[in-house]
Amino acid sequence: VKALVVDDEEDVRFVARLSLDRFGGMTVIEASSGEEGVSRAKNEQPDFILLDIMMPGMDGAATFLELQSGTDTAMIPIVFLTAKSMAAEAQRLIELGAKGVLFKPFNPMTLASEITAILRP
Amino acid sequence: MEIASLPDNERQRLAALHRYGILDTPPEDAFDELARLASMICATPIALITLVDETRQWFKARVGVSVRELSREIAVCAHTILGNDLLIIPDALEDPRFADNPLVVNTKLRFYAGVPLTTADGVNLGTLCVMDHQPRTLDDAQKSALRALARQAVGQLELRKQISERASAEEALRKTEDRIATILDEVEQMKKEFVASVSHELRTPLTSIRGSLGLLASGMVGELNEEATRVVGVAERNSIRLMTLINDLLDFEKLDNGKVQMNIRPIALRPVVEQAVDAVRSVAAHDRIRVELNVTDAMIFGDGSRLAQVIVNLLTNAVKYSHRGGVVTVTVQPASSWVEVRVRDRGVGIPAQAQKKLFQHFSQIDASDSRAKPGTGLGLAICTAIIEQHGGEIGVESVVGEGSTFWFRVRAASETAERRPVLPDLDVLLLDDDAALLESLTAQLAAAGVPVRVARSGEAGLAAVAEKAPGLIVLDLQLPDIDGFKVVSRLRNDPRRCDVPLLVYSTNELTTAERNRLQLGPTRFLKKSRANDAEFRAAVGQLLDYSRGRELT
Repeated sequence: VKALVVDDEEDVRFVARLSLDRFGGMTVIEASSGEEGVSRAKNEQPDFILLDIMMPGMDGAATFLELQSGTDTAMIPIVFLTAKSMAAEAQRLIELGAKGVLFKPFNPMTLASEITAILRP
Repeated sequence: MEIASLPDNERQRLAALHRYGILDTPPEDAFDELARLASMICATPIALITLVDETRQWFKARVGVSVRELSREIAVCAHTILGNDLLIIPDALEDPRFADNPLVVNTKLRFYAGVPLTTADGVNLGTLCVMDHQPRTLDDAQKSALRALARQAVGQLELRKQISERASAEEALRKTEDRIATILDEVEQMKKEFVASVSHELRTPLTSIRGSLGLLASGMVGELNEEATRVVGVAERNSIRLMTLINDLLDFEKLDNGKVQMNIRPIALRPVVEQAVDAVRSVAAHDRIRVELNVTDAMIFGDGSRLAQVIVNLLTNAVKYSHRGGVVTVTVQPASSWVEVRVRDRGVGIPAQAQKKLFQHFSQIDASDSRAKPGTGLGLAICTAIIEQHGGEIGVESVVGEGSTFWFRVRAASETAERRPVLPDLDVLLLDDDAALLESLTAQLAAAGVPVRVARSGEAGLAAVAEKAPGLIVLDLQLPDIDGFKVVSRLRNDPRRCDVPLLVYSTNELTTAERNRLQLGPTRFLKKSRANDAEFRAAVGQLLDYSRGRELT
């Protein structure tokens, strides 16, 4: 499984990568901004994207809409990883087609299994 | 004698009467005038406007009668209110209902004519009546005039009721508003206490976490591989971030509550700026941002370490929002009475509507600021509180796409201020009417060798200040003549007196809004209950030092 983690905070990406790698056996690629996330998603076709909402520049919502409108990225499932304060925004985006939402702080030992549960058809 | 029966609607009638709130109120011209007219038109020596309650008839207006009320049992008007129209008794002695009435027997009343005061709801509250000592009657013109005057009296009662209802509604509204203001103040206070206590509680476990992570990172408790070192590094870095955030919260809470005592004295600004620039140089270098200094020597009144904190804060923001490889410039511009420090970046700039919100608490956490870089959002609020306590100003100029300049101004001191050895002998003006407290404060200050002047009212105080500016004014907000807020505003509006330091005390804790109204120059606050102890003496000492510094410039 190939995961793309999009978050502007390096420390968060690092901990998420380690969690998905060690506890889920996933291959993890990273992007530090929405723009970079869209481009890496196009080029590397991950199996899912873990996306932060509050980011400078292109935020999570804009990134999500951009990915949805791209023919080669529209099918990639998106799970938001965000602060509790963004719960309402996450819910709105789920109604627009995102797969689910997980809140920070996340448990590094269960992050991979929680994502797997959300993605299970 | 026949005692009048009760009207059928007596309960309703009494309830209505009490709603008018007229019983036992002082005489009023409008009613007196109507009684005089009745007496004149009917040519009777006596005219009354009466209100009949449970046990008596009470006179709202009276002509020719000295008593204010009579027992209902002997009241002729108690009969009048049983009917709907004018009751005329041409000769009471001839009328079996009244022939042995004490009023007739003792005060020799013979003639009575009374019109009930009938409200729109159809209840008779009392009467307008005229009386005479001889038997007689009224002609038709007098009868209709008496009825018309009775209607006027009812109209006057209605008007009076409406006015008092409006007044009590306004009073109730005012009370509600006061109550809401009190509750809001209490909530604000609770919030502050909550922030302070929670922040303290958070620091304790965080200290252990930081300590443990530090030990792990140092390798002292076991060798870590490269990845483990990085994991521990992330944890340590973020625990430091959390600690900074909590410290900012505590710092802000203290500043906002006036719990921080500034040590404001004449100092050279250059070392302060240089110290601040040194503190951020490594952070700036990390992003290849150059910090330029454009500093001339200037003496100011300030607390060096607090002003350094402000400059570090402004510089950190400037670096944070600069483009990689950019330049941040710090400029010191002395003017005649102010020295301005400007911190300029060439970053993205701040839109006008966002500039206004910048200096509010937690503004960075606002979701509209998507550049959520590490920071508490309290930095500028802390800077503002510090500059305000210096009696200075802080602000921002910014153009989107071109960058921002944050500036603050503090008062200039002269070059020689630090070197002049002789201190002028400044006095303290005590402005209070509490004799016991005045005596105690005077004794304390005299013991410390401080000359004291005393004024016992706001006007006397302002006159004393006009005569000779004191080194410090100690002011009770509750004065006998004008209130303390007015005294402060008049004082601060006088350009020659606007920077005399003030020590303000009040019985109640002041709200932030009240403090802001008072803080138009160097000002310190104290609860009145603390005006008699070491805290008072320390505050007086510091404020006088400040004044001496000012005097020397």
